[in-house]
Amino acid sequence: MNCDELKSCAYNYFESQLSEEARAAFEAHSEECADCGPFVAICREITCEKLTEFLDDYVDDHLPAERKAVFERHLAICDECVAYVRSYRITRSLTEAQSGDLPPYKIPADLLGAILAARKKA
Amino acid sequence: MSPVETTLLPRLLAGEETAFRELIETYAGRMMVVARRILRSEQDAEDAVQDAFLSALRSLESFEGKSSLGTWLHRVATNAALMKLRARPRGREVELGDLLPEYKSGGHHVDPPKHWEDLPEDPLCRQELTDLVRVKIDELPENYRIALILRDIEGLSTAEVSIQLELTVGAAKVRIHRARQALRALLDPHLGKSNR
Ligand SMILES: [Zn+2]
Ligand SMILES: [Zn+2]
Repeated sequence: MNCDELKSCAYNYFESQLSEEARAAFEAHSEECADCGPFVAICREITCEKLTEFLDDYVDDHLPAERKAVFERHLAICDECVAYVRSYRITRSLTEAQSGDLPPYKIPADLLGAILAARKKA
Repeated sequence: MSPVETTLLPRLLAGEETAFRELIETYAGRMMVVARRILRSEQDAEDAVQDAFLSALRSLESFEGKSSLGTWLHRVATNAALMKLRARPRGREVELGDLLPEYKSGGHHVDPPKHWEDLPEDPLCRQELTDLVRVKIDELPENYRIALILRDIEGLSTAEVSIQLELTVGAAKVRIHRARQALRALLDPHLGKSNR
């Protein structure tokens, strides 16, 4: 197995979908290769599922530095999570934008009257 | 305090009727916005705003000017709307099911997330998008909808949301996060690019 082959079958390796033979070749290469060893170590650090679970803290920058570094190492190798984080951020900013401009409002006379009357009674 | 407030407050405290009328005319609009958003009924929102003004008047002496009058009244209106909401017959707590991401056994996404484009700059497109987002927020199950509104639109802290919803802070945090994920899923068909 070479470096390109390892990277292209990493997904199946972690989803336990490689043959025993391919699995062994994957592990053998990752142990002896100075590039692939660290890559596989990063893949082992955190799954997409775990990353998503703590995404709110990441986006709010509430993660401790060490944890944040784990997140960023994962994002550097995972396009799926990059896309997810981006859409999560956009969703949030679109929600926040709902509080935007105030539509003009003139209080209906009967509501104003009702409040003033209720105040007198109180 | 703003100039309006410095002149209005003493008159309110002195019980001046015209001052109360001014207060209502100045702040009712923004209070209606939050009450409508929470209650989704014009009539209930008006009732909540009425409750809010009366309760504000009762506690006016406790208003210490730490925040602006507008911010304080916004809070009071939020509380009044939530109180109305709690008085409604409680619906079932609905779970989000399909709207939360699913994962394979190895932790990868079952459906690879789509790439979202930058948001349009054009004000017209922007307005359409704002309307779409409002509709989608309204599609969320009530318990998630309210958590999202309080945190991300009304700007309450997670701790404040937990008090309003009678949850632990941890549970409130999870609920807010899931609500955002669910809204993301509802917006995905509109904003995600299908093929990269
Ligand atoms: Zn290699
Ligand atoms: Zn990932």
